[in-house]
Amino acid sequence: MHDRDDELTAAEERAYAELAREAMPSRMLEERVVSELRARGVLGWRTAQRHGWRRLQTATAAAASFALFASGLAVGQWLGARHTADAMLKLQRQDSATAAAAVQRTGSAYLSALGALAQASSSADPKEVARARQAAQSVLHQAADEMVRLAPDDPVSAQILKGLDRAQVQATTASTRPDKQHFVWF
Amino acid sequence: MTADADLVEAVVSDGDEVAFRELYRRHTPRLYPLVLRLVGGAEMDAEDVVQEAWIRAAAGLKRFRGDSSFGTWLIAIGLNAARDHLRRRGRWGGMEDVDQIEIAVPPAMHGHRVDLERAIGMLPPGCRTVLVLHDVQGFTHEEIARQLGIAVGTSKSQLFAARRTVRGLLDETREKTHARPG
Repeated sequence: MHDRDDELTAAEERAYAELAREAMPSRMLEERVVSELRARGVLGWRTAQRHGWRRLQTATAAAASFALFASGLAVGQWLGARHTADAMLKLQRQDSATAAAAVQRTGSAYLSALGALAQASSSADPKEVARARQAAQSVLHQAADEMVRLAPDDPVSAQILKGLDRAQVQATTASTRPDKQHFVWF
Repeated sequence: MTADADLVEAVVSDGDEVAFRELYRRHTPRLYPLVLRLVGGAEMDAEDVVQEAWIRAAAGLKRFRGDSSFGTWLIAIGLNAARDHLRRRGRWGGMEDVDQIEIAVPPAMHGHRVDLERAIGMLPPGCRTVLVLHDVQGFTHEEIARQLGIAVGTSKSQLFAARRTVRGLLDETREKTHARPG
């Protein structure tokens, strides 16, 4: 059948020639190889560097976003604080107005009470009248004291305070000690 | 088309994955059938060997000087990887004694015609490697001798034994198929 056992026949040559010389293994093999080479650091280290740079950029962007957010928050709080300060100022202004009105009301009440005391002094108990007068003087003294604190340069308040202090000193030196004080503060 | 040398340079200098995939897709189609035949037709074994060959090739890319084509260089690596694989499996004992080669057709294949591919796969690994390299890949005996580290005469005697065995397998199954009743 074969003239030379170490030579291929024409049919055998054709059969060998028809054998596939090219074939692709499964797609998974490529991924396995690439994955293994990545794990060994042969592939992808430049990509990893790019990813590292990208991560840095992302981190920077995140930090910038946070800074922007924090700045916005701070500005918002500052604006809020300004509103709060304005509100406090308004409240203080309101309190001042309320206090001024209270001074006017109590001043009027004080004068009304003194006027009523003067009218009733002839028929009232002299001890009660004396006690009321002493209380009125004490209040007047403390009011003058507050007036001087309120307006140190106000000569009227200063003169009233000095006059009251002088009168008190004279009363003390005359050894006419007053009876035990029984003030009822309001 | 980017030259192999440029792709190699991109992989070596940059670890360029895209360049590597291009090399892989360009040369694996020729490497895989060779390896598949060397391991006797076992696809999973062939894929393991191809993977090992590429890993060795990638690790040695810096040593690739372009003296031979990249494809030839890769085939040599694949051949060594296949031999190492067969050796680990205890199936590579060097070149067989050509007088001792006897292949019996498995009972399961009685009545079925064995094609050339199947017959090559049934050869002992040593002479199968020589036959595949010579008759399928077109290597000369000198190249085979250099690749396998054997004498040229050994390559020739292995090829002779391989061809004879293949013929025997093809003739045996052909006769049995023709003789099959019905």
